Amino acid sequence: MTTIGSAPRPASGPAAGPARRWLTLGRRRTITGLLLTAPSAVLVTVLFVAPLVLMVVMSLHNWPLLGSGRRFRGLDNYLEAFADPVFGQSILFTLKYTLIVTPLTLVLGYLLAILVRRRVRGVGFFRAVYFAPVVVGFAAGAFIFLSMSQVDVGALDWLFRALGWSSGSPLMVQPGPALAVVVLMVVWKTVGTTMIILMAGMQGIPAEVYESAQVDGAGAWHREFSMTLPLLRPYLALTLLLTVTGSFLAFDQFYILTQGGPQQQTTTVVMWLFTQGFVRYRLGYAAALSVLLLLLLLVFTVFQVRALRAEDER
Amino acid sequence: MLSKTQFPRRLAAVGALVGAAAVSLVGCSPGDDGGAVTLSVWGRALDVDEALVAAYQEANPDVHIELTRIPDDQFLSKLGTAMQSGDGPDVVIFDDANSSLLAASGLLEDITDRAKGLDFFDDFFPGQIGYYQDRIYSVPKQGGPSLMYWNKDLFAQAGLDPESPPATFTEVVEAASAIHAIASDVYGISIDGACGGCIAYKLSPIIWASGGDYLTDAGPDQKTTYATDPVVAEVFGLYREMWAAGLAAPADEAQDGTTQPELFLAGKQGIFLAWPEFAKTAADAGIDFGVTSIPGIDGGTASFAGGNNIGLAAGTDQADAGWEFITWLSDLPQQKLMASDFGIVPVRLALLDDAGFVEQYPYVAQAIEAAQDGQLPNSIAYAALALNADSPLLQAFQAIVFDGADPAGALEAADTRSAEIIAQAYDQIGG
Repeated sequence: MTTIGSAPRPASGPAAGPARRWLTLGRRRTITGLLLTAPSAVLVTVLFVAPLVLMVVMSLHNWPLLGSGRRFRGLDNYLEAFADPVFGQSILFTLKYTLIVTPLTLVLGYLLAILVRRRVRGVGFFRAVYFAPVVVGFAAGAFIFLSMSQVDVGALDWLFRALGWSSGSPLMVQPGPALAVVVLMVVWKTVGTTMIILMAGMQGIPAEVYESAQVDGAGAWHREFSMTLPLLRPYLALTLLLTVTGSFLAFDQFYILTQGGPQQQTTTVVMWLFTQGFVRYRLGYAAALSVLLLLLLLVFTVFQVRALRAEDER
Repeated sequence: MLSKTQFPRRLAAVGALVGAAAVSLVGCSPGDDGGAVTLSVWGRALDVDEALVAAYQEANPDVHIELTRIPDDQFLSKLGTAMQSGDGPDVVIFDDANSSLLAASGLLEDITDRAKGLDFFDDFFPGQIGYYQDRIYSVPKQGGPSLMYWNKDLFAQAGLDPESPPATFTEVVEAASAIHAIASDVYGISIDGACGGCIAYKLSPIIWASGGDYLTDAGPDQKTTYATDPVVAEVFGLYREMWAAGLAAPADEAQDGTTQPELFLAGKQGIFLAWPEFAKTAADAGIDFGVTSIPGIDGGTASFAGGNNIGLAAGTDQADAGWEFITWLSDLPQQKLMASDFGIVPVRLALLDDAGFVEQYPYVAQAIEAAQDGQLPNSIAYAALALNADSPLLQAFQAIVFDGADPAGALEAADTRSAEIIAQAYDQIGG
């Protein structure tokens, strides 16, 4: 906003000095804008950009956690990563895990959203109940499921045996059941978020859309799948992005429930990265693995965003 | 929008504010005390250290000790980071399994001359002294050797002499078998199937007492000898035998160490290999038990010299004050205090000659005796070689004992992976 003629003029008059001429309105706006965004820019730089740059620098070095054996290695860490069989195995496992968890969470979240989207009496209670696991930390949730998997006394152990999914050994030493327990825990814990996001999306669809559809004789199924679903695309895109990213970065649940076992069969990328950095103290190599994971995630994210946006623009 | 006049003033005002904020964020550095000596001691999260520090400060009012207790899972990363930025401590108390790693990484001062200058140097638990390539970097502070506990009631029920524990590991297997015969829910022994640290702590002594070993000398050429030392295969084979015969609880396959004492404390397990403080836990649970050293396959005894070591941080400018503190800690009165007030095993062999001490603390005395044959696996890569869930030791053990894999193949694979881990570890420290 420009104040015209109401600001007090100094005694020396408007013709004083070159500084006054330099500070045009446009420049004042720019500088004000820069000043106002400076705090968050500083925060982002310090908390995000600087560590990222440091990580890339570390990935080009031999960077031990202890001692002073730091030295430049160029791209050797990356070359080692490409030849590392456990790294490759962990990527495949993480992909497999993501492909299992994502559809489960989306479908279940969608169904729950349908259940709780109408404002009937008592729906608030159910929304809270379905969302409550989200509030429980990943570590706490993992411990709960770990205790349920205890042989002979755990509910999950009994269930798996009853269904013939367990050989009777502890669940965590069998690769299939171990992964199943982790998937169960993660879906239980994160489906609430998907439900809330999709529910918000569903509630945002104007009622007139359905009214006109009903007038045209559209049944419940048709309304749901040919109308609600397409209108929810941006929300589905968001939950897909969140679920995929979260699954790629899975660590806590595996660290507590399976410790990457049995025999490294449930080791995710972040678990391997953690082992390299904090068990073998090779921060440089761990940084290189981090950078590669980041690039992989970026590719997936860009791909997802493009694919979902392209359909929107049809 | 600000006018041309107000704007520069506002700009200056904001600039001054931001500048002041920046300066205050930097914070004030601690002032110089002048006169009093300040010693920074970093230790593990143990109450005994607080008590000892308090006692030392009372006896030495001109010394101020800042004790920082650090949880185990952050210990090495915090220490490494702090020392790199020059914010490290003067004295470090640490898990003795890390003594080679800290020495090789240059985090500890070489205290060979100081240590050997102590008139009670030979009284320390020999296997716990922090040697690395013939120089000393840390001395023992408290002990925790592994021991064998047996349930006297179950022994009697099984027809074994409750006062005479197995003297060889072969006898251990026989005793376990006899005890399991009592009832299907009574087990002979525990097998910690998912705990690399437990396996190292309990099986290493059996291997050592049998005349074997699984590590060559610490250094860049260090190798593991899982496949080449026949004793290793023999010991793993005995555990396979016990597992196949059902002498351990089925849940043991996933035992990660957290609930390992439960069966023994419930009186449902005949033999349990454990740490010295377990004696108090078992006594409190009302178990009639005995404790003795861990035997080799055909006799002999050994122990895993667990515990804490203490050393001077590299580059400390309080080396003399720090060493005085270390010397004071190692003195007999303080060592006795650890036993009397905290039930912790001291590291001075001379206490075995103190009849009053032995009578008052029989279990601690038993532990000190066992520690005479104590050893440590001396490797800078110990955590990755043994402790971690994907360690070669644990994976070979699981493959052989639970999956019935061919020992030769599994042990060779363990040697190969261990060699890679050791090479990477030395590559890291530039050694």
